[in-house]
Amino acid sequence: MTGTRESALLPVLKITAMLMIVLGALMVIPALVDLSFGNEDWRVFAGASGASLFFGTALLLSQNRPVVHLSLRQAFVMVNVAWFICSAAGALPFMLAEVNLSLTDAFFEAVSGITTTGSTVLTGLDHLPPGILLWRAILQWIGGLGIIVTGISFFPALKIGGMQMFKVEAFDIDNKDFPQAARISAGLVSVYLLLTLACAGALWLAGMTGLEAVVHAMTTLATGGFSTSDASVGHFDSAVIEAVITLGMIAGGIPFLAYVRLVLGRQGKRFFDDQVRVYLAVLAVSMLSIALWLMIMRDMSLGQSLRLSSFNVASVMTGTGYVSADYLLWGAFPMMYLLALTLVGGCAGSTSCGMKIFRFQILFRVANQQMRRLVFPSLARAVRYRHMPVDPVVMASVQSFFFLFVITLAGLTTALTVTGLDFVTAISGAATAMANVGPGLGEIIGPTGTFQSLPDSAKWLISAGMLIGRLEVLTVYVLFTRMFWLA
Amino acid sequence: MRQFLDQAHLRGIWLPALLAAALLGLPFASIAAESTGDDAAQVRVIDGDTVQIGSKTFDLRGIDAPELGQICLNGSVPWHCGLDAAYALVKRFVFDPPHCRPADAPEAGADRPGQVVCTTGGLAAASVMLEDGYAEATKQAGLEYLRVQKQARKASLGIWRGKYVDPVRWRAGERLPEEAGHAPACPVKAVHLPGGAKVYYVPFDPEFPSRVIDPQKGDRCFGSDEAARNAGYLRPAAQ
Repeated sequence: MTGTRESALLPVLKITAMLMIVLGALMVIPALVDLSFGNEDWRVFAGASGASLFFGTALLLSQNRPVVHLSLRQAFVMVNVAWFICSAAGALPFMLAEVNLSLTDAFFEAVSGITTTGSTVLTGLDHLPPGILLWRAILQWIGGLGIIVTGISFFPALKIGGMQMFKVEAFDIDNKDFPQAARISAGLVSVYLLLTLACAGALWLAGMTGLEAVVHAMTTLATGGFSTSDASVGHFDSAVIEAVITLGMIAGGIPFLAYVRLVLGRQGKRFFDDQVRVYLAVLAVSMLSIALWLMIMRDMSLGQSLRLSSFNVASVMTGTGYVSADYLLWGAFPMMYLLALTLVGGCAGSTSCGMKIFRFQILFRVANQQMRRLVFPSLARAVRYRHMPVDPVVMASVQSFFFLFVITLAGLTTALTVTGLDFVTAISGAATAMANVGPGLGEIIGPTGTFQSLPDSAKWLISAGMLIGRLEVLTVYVLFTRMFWLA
Repeated sequence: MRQFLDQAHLRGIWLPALLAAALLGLPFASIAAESTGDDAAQVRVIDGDTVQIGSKTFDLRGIDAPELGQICLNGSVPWHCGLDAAYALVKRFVFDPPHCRPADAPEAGADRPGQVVCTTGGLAAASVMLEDGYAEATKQAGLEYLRVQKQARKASLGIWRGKYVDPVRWRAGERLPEEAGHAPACPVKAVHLPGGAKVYYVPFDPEFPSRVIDPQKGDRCFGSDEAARNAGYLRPAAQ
């Protein structure tokens, strides 16, 4: 970093201040909703909004130089700080509102929201005031938008886990073509907003109330999974609602840049690229496989088994985490299948979570190439992806990501067992946190359970897992290397 | 557009898209009228260890959960353990509708009415509540329940995260000093209905939000369903 540490942190502080102002402005929405419903929580949201706006503005005004350039290291620090600060600021209403959560629970709920995980410590959702339900949805929606922006601009520029393959020149941190970046950004926000509105309209027409439709639309497109009911989407027991949400979740798992290109009429045929095709194929095969299992082993009708498998497979694979049934009762095969899908996730550049389809594609191709070499040592065909040879640096990056993800998963599982949790709860808790899904397995945190009863130590560990997973592991770990801070 | 529909894309794009559409369309179109719910409405949750079947109230055999108005400590932080335990049971029953049968041998000395064994998702609801740390095993509970409780205690789940008053002693009036100022406002609403009937409602009853306590009519708030029953209030008829 050049100059003093203070000046090096200036852009980080400035962007953090802007995020605080955005969060403060967003808190006005639940304040108004609670005010219109006559709920006293409006004062909490108004106060928290005022505090966020005040500190954000003060921080912004204290820095009088414009941010024109971010170095690589500044970008790393900024991404980490931004997600942490948003989580902390987002937790404020949970501590001060009627739900009156402890610091641990409030931070857990906020991190789960902003990372679009969807694990919750709240019970009695059906009886909560509208403002707090809306705030949870807003956190997930803004988190979804945040990960689209981070996934398109920062991760490729920072070369996180092979994401450099999805680099968009206009979003390069060295780029000076702000008009082009602004156009694409406006397109991304518009597409995200339009899809959310379309989903909300469809849910409202399907029978949800206005609040339920808005909350579920926001958490569907964000692949977050917060609901207005303890029984999640199962509460509505409506095939039409499940169909709308299933389509919304699948849409959330597709790269949002593809939508923008489609709308702009450019490269429309690239919408169903290699990654999207495999994503849809995995979804389809998984839905069919589990539906077949349910028909044969659980004696369900074709319609019922397809309805259950479609919704829950889409929910788990995209990392949304809605539940329409207790899938733990389906047997060992669906349970293990869903656990595996938890880790796979959706496409890069989408709101979905997990390790991402493209990384598995590259790893499979690398493994395939290695096997070819075993048989034909002289055959040295380059690994190709999206019709281009894959740079060995990208392959190493993907392999590093995979290695660190698995090591972290193992470490987090071990740490959770140290808190006293049983193995199934620990490993599924670690997986659901790192893949930002929502429910785990087992009776405690499974689809019919809740994270409420976990000890605080486990909640902090899972919160850390959610942030590490959302920031694709390497983004966080690089801050803990000595060389990062040496310059 | 023509390029978009060329042969390669028919193979590469439309087949997966059509398959996905068929997968989604078929189930949702064919079973719109099919319901996943069943007779869960017949068993209503009153608190973390009490259910209503028909017009009668039963305890889940082998456990005692915190009362609706009870506060426990998570470390030093007060939390609504009674309400949360009940909500956890409600959630489980929504997903896995319970099947209840009378307990073979009711526990001696129970201070409440009949006892039942309810299974939810193939497991005893009482055992699941113990596993989550939302209840403690009674003295007469079997070895299996004690083993499950030991595991929850070891993991510091639910009520085992800090201090709490044993529900038996809580019903007798003992409280933690930290409970003062943190108790839920009115977890059990006991009201006099226009016909003269004395009925109590808990937060999971659909009528609960609309019931207003009118002290002039003798309506009261209670911290537990037992206290309401002891004062002569009854449950509303099953829906």
